[in-house]
Amino acid sequence: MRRLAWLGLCAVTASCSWSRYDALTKDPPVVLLERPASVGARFGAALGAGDGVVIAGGQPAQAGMALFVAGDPPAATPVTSTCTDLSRCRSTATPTHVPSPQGRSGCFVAGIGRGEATLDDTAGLVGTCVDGGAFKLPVPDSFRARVIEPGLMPFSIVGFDGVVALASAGNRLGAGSPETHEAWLYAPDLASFSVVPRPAYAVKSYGMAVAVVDGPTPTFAVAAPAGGLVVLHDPVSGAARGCIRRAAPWGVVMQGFTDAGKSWLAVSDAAGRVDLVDLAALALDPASCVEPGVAARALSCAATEDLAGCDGAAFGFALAHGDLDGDGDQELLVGAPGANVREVPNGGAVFVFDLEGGDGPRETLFLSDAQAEDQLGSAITAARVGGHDVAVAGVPGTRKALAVFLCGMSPGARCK
Amino acid sequence: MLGGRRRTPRWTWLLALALAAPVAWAEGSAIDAAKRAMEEGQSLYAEKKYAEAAAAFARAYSLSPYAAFLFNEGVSHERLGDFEHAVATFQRYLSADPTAPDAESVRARIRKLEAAIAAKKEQREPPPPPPAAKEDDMRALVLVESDPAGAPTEVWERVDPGAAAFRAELDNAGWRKVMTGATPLAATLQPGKYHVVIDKWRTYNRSESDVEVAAGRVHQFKANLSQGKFMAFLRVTSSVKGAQIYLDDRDEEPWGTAPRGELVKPGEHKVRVEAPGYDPFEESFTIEAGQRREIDATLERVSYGYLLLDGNAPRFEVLVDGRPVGVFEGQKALRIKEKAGRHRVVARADGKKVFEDEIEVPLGQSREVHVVFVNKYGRGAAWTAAVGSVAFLGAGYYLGQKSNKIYDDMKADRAAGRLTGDDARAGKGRAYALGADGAFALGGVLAVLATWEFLRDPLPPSGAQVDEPRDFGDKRRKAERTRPSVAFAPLVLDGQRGLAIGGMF
Repeated sequence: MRRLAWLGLCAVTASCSWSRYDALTKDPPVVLLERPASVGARFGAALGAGDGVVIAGGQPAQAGMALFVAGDPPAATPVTSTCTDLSRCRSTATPTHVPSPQGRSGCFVAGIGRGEATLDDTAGLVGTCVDGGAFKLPVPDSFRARVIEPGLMPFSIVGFDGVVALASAGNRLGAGSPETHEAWLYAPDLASFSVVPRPAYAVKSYGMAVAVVDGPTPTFAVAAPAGGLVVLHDPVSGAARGCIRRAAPWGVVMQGFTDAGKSWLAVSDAAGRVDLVDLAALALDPASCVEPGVAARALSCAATEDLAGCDGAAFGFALAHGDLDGDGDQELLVGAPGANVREVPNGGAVFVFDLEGGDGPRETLFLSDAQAEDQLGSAITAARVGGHDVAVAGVPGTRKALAVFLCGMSPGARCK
Repeated sequence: MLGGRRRTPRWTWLLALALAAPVAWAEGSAIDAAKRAMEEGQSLYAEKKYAEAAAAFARAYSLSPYAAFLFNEGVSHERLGDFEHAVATFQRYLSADPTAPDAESVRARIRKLEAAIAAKKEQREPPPPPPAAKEDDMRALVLVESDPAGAPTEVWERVDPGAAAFRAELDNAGWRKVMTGATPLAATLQPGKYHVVIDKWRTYNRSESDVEVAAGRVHQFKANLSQGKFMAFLRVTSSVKGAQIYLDDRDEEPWGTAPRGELVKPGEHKVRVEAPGYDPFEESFTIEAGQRREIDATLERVSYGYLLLDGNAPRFEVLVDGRPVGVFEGQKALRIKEKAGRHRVVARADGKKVFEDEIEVPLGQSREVHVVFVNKYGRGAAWTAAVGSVAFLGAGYYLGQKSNKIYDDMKADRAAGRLTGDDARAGKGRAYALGADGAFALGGVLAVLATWEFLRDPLPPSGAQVDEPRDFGDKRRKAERTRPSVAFAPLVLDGQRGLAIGGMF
């Protein structure tokens, strides 16, 4: 009788089972990978993934990088770390996956500086593999002279994302540096490179972001955000096929990928403007910059029940792509680390856009942990787990972790 | 005036006439005994028990030496054939009343009896026996009295049955004066019609009355000389002792209380007998001078009664059978008239428990009901618990809703694949859930407590002391209640408990 009375009371709001939260949080769809001791401040500000490995680092200073094996659940401790001398790992560029260099897998390239008191020759673009191996990439002399050699403060001249940009697609790795206003493409074996010619109209901040696009319209895109320009180079000849422009600082972040038989370039100003450009649809003029016109479709940050507004959300601060729903097509992931989610300031979020359909990109998923000052989405990537990709978002704010969204877009046990 | 007669002064003179029936004022007197003996003798004589009749008359004479008794005794002896005793008795009669109107006839009767006795002794043919005595040979005794005594009195006999009514100022042919004297006057008379006259005397008026004298009876007259007329006698009895008797005029003071007998004026009268709690009795009648009338008033209880309510509350409202009947204001008992029988009485006073009970309204009587109100049990604790319960239940509901909202959000996040294992909301949701459960538990406990406090009532109900019925106007019970007394009672006021002491002086 007493139990029945108790249950009757509970039935009023069905709130008596505080333990139901245990079931709710057991095997959660989002697994947080805590910052390892080998990584310094703002762990999760830099991310890369490939070959079932996730690499994460911090930003901007004294941030090492750790490699985790992606899985369900992902390994809580990193397989290995690189740049453990934190003083050398200042302002690392986005660690970029490179396929099978020297027969290895699970390798990533990042910019690594020197120790403050050490003038060794390990500084530069360095490759780190999950097996612990490392290799060094050749760089243009100008870059070496301007960025690597001159003194004790490499990779710390500009505030955003360092002085080198990296991007890869297929077996091609591209790099750029706003310090030297140049960009170069590596050969598949990473043993050599060729600097693409910089158009005369693109000087300031040229090389701040690069993107390598496969597909029917292969492109090596180099951005000059100060002018709102993105120069599209032929990855084979290196010649500039043309330039597209928006209001500055358009081009701070770029991401290239192939989907539905088209080559796409996502361009962001990291402050709310994200355009998805169909490279094949562009009407380019090799001598000047043009508006992308109908070839570009804007990805909007719309207010929802979870997101009161997009002002200050830094929509487009990071871009990534992956097949989250396992349908074989790519979804575009857009980070907004400044988003106030459910009235939580700077909780950050990741918008997932499905590119299918004739109406353009459509937001299909909104990822956030809604924790204050987490700045989730400062860096994002997609890691292959099981039969599909899962979103991995850096949480460099309060928690300094990686949020692995294992549920993806395919409902599973973790999503119930 | 009747009232005046009740306060009869010494100078007021009465004359009463008593017929054959016993007379109230003379009961127990020698004359009464003589009357009874006279009547007994007359009765025995009628039954031809002459010896017993003679003894009765003799006993009557021994009680009251009126000559009429001797004459009747003599007649009885004569009828018995005891002529010697008859002669002796007749001679005593003549001796006792030498002026008897029938003295000559009595002497002749003696002579005849003596002759018969002589003849019997000589064993010769007896002389013709005296005429057989008849019942109407009995003599009656007529007593005429006045106060003061000494009034000149005449007794006239109507010798001619066709004679006109006696009128003092006329010749009155057919009438014969048979006796003259002064009161008190005792006359031995044959049956017949007579007229008694007491002449104007001193300052008193003349009084007179016709008298039908019956054989073997004692007639007693008493004259009210001041009024100058003869009176009748009225006796009123009642089934209710002490009932008030009103004669002729209801508005006057009562004539007296039952039982009561007194002289009244001849004529038409109306008697009304009243007693509290009884329906009044009324009877109209005509009474003649010298007549005696007995009225027995059987009173029936009225169909209603009274409840006299008071109580220990300064003011309370009373309902009988659901009808408001009045308000007790703390001074005089509330008097409620109701049909006799059981009635549901309800008394309500502020701050007191309602008194309700079936009370018998007595038939034609009053019943005092002393309501003893008991304070209502304070519900402050119950209300406090109830408010607390509502507050906690409300808080529990609010916290539960908050918890549910968080849970739903987290569940939605989980379904959307964005829930982390260390989501801070889980802790908050748990806290809300625990808070809700705690609040519900406390609210439930307080609700049970409040319900218990609302239901429980340790104080007894209001009651009443219901007295025995008493007649209307009976103060006896009230006097009893005012005897000094001291009482103790538990007292609960505003949640405080104590002992109350009270006294009645």
